[in-house]
Amino acid sequence: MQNKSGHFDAILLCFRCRHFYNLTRVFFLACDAVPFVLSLCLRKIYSRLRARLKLSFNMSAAGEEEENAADLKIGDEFLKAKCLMNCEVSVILEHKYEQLQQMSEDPMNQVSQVFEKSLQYVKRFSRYKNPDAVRQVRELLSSYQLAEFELCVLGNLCPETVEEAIAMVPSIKSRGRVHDDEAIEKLLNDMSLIKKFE
Amino acid sequence: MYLKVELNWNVVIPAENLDIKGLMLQKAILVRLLDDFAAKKATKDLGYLVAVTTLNKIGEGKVREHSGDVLFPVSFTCLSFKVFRGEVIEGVVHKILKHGVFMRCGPIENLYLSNQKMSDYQYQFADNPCFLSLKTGSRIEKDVTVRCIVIGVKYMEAQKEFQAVVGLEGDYLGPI
Repeated sequence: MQNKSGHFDAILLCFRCRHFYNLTRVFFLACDAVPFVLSLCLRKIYSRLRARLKLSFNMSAAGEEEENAADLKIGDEFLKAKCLMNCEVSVILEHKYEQLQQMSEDPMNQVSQVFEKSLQYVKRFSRYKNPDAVRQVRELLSSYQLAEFELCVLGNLCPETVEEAIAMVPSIKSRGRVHDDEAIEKLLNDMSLIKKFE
Repeated sequence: MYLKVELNWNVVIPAENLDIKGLMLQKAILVRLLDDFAAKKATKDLGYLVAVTTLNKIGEGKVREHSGDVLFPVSFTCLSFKVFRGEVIEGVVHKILKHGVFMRCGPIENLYLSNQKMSDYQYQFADNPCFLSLKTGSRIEKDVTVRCIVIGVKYMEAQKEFQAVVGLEGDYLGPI
C-alpha cells in the first residue's frame, strides 16, 4: 500500500512536473510571443499613423498642386461650369431687383445679404453697362478658343496690353495654345471698341 | 468669379400649404425654395449662393408618412460666387491695419492682404492711415480698388463664410 501510494505519488509528481514543464513551456512561449505581438501591433499603429500623416501631407500638397487658376488647374466641374462675367451678373441681378421692386416697396428687405453685396460689387465692377454690349463681348470672346474661366477673367479685368492680358491669365500663352500675340492684340482691340461704342 | 450652376434640391411643403389650385402650390414651392436658398447662404464646393435665376422642373411630390408634409424634387439654375487660388480679382479696401489691409470682393467680406505680400508698400500712420509705395507713389487707402492675386482660400463651416489671403506679387497688380 505504502509502496503503491509512493508510486502513485511519484506518478503524480511526474505528471505535475510534466504539467509544470508544459506550463513553463507555454509561459516561455507566451513571453516570446508577447513582444512579438506587441511589436506587430506597434508596427501596425506606426504604419497607420505614417499613412495618415502622409495622406494629410499629400492632401495639402495635392491641394496646392491641384487648384491653381493661373495654370487653369481648377476642379473639373468648374472648368466645364458656365462662368459669368461681372457685367452679365450685373444685368441679371439688376433685372431681378427691378422685379422685386415692382412687387414690394422695400426690396432691400426682401433680398439676402449675399445678393445685396453681390449687386453692389457688380455695379461697381462691370465694365459694360449696356446689355447689348455685354452680349457682344460674350460673342467676341467665345469666338476665340478660351476656357470659360479665362474668358470671364478677360471680360472682368479688360486688360489694355498683351503683356497685361498674359499677366492676368497666364494660361492663354502656355500649354501650346494657338494664341499668338497678334491674336490677343486683336481681341483686346475689339473689346475696347465695344466699350467705346456702347 | 460668378458661376452658373444647375442644382437639384428637395423642397418640403407643410401639409397646410397644400392647395387644390395648382398655381398656389407652385407659388408655395417657389417661395419655399427661395427661402431655403437664402438660408443656405454658401456651400464649400459652390461658394456663395447669390440668386436663383430659373426654375427648370418641379418633380412628383412624395408624402412624408408621419408629418403629412410633401417633398418635391426641384431642379433650378442659380448664380454662385467663388474665388479660386491663382485667380486675379479686384477688391475694395474697407479696413487698414498696421500689418495689412482687409478688402471686400462681392459677398466675401474678408480678403486679407498682408504687408508681407506687398513689400513695396510702407504703412503710413496718419489721420487716415494708408500704405504708400515710395517707388511709384501709389497708395492703398480706404475705398480704393486693388487688383490682386488669390493665394489661398478657406471656408468656415460654422459661419458659412469664405476668407481669402491675397497678394500683390506679380505684374500689373496693385491699386487702380
